[in-house]
Amino acid sequence: MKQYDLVLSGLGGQGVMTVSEVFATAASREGIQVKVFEGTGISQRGGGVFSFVRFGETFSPKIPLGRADAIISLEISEVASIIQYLKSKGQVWANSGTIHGYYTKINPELYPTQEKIKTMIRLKTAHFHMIPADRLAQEAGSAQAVNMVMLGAFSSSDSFLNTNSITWAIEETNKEFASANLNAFWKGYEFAKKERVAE
Amino acid sequence: MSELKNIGTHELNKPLLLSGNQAMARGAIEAGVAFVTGYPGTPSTYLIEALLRFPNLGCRVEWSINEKVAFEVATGFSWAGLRSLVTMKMSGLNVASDAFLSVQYSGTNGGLVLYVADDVNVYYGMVEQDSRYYARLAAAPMLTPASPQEALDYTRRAFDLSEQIGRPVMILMTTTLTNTLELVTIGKIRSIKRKPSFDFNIARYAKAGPLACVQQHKDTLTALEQFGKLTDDLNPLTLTESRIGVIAAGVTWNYLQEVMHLNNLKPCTLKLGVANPLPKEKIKALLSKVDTVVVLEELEPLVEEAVLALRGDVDHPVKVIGKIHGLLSRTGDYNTDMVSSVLHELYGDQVLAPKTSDDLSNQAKALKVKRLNTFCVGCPHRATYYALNQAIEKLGYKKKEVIITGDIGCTILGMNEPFQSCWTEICMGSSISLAQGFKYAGIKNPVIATIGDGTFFHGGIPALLNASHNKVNLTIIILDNHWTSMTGMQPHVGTEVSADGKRVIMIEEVVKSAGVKNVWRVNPYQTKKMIPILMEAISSPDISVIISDAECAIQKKRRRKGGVSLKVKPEKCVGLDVCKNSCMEILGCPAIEPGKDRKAFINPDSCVACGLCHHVCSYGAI
Repeated sequence: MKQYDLVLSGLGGQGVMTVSEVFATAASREGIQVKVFEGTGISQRGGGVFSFVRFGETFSPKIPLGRADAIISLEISEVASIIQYLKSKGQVWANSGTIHGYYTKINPELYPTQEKIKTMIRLKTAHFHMIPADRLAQEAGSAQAVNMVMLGAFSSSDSFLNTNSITWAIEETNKEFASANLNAFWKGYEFAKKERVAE
Repeated sequence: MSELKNIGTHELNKPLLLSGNQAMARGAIEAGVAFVTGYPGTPSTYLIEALLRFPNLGCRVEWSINEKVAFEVATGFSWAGLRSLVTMKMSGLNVASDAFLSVQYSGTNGGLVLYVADDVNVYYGMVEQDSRYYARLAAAPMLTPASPQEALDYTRRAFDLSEQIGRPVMILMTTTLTNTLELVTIGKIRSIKRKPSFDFNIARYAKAGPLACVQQHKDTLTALEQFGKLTDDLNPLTLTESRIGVIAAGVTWNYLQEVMHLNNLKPCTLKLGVANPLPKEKIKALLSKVDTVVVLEELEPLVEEAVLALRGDVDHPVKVIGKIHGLLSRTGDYNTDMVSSVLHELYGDQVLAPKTSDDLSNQAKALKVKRLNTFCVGCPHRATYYALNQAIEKLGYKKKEVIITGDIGCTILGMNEPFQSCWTEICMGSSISLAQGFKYAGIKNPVIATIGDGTFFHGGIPALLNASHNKVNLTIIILDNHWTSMTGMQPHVGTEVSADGKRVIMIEEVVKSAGVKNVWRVNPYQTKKMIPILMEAISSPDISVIISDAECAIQKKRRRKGGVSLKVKPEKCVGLDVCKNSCMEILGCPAIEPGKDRKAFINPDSCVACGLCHHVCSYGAI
């Protein structure tokens, strides 16, 4: 593996930073150079969050436009805030679940339809995966662990990091919730594997 | 950020995954720092947070009441011969600047390092400020690392440098660096055991008359020059065959490296790891080899101005490309694409221009969901602003007839929808003094100041004394949630609770001793009791202070096991589209969602049962 660039997005509290750190911890176990940039802001109060994860030899923590190999979004509409970083024919992994804020609760029409989001993604790539991560996290017994479901789904396809390293890093990053997180990880992993077989 | 990284580890063979802040914390420990203090201000907050997670690091670590006090306490350590580190965001440096300039002129004894984090591109809030100008102003040495590894290395060295030149050393990081994680090679932890002592020298440690003061100024300038010589290696100059040169300050070096690597470019380069003093001889050496020089630095054109001034010293014309002539931006943070664009102008097709697609970015922009920064679920401030808006309405005033001044911290979120209560925000503690000014100016209607407890202690007390002494007719609401919440729930002087369950420092005692007679402590969740008290306070001809007391909901939730949540009775709720005073619209609580038939549904996973929606519902549906 020479280099791999990943952009993540979501909303404050969804665990974008935790996933980024799991990736970085897993990479460091494998002796792969890694850089992470965390764009948090005052996210705990409802705002968007993004993160760059760069594997291999890079100089800057920020990914140039149109160069990311994949993007992962923990909330479907937040794909829009990072799509410009994706290279053409790159991969999109998105939680199909939605989170409404003040404005879209009052006026639901302000929230884009899934079709519109898909049309936007198709301008860039045909490789996209919508994962019902909210439901899968609940089935795994931890509604909070949407981030781990998405991490699992993504990990099922791309083998630039060893799955063992990722599960090891999940335990390292949060010992208290390790087993709940691993359950969610495998739930996402199995779902995405099956979905691809079906394709 | 992960809490598991042991930044105090002695295992040197394993690189650690550290952020800029964590790397700097490690550097300070490796330098044998005895004391670390500061005031929470993101992006600087996580340095002290990282240290506080490991109580056995052998140094004293604590938050101070404000940045000026923090700097002064640390100076005491330094003047007693011990090493200390002070941390703050750029706004905090403005607060600490009085002490900082004075100490810079007096000098130091034990190593004293001042870390300031500039929030370039304003990821978190406040003025987009270039603190390199403070280094200029104070004739203070300043280092600008470009990566977490450099943050560690520079910090460790900064303590030695500070002792070599006898002056505080500043280190500047920006949000790009504080929030970058990478694998960092660590070094040995030095244990420095020094006996505290003091050199009784009035000419140095006081401002003893003009002669002594001018001498201090001279010594400061000499020390700065000496610092430049000692740190020459931090400004590496690489001369190539190219007639194009690039000077890159701080983190911009990373973007330059990336563009050079991607496009196989070999311009002459000068990396600046020192922001003050600038390496004039190296800049001249670069200028003498090139026809064009690009200056990469975020925010103000400080290096660029120096380059323009030195341009006359070389014997051929050199074109300087920076922000004075418009190619580069004076606002926001830089990235690889910006550097690609500017080098594309110079090199043509040899440098790939950034890959952008207008169609895609327009669609993405159109689909981006507008989101609101609002109070957390159960936040007591939501209740306070709701009650305040109600009280103003019941007194017969329209929204834009009453000025409410806001202050720094979570309380300022009252400026956002649905409350739109706070009309102003200046700096820590200013809500009270600004309100006094409005009254002095002749504003007849009530003027109300809202301020959080931490902000009140940080900078609000002098303003309260001033207003009280001058008998100004104001209402001041202190939203007391017991923590410095906006930066991640740090404790402050008012947080501590004694064994009998009472707060050790009671805000009302401070307020009463300032001469305020009208003082109330209220529970904001009991809105029906609170509204008449607010009305009485606002109508009173005297200065009134209301302490709206309820702990930060996040902190409260952390201690509580299990939990209860409120439920909506669907047969009573009329739904968002019919209800005139819908809880969803007037409270904006993230836990309440439109459910079946647009009736309110309370998410049991988020609700903390604060009860505000129960008080607000006019149908008794909650």
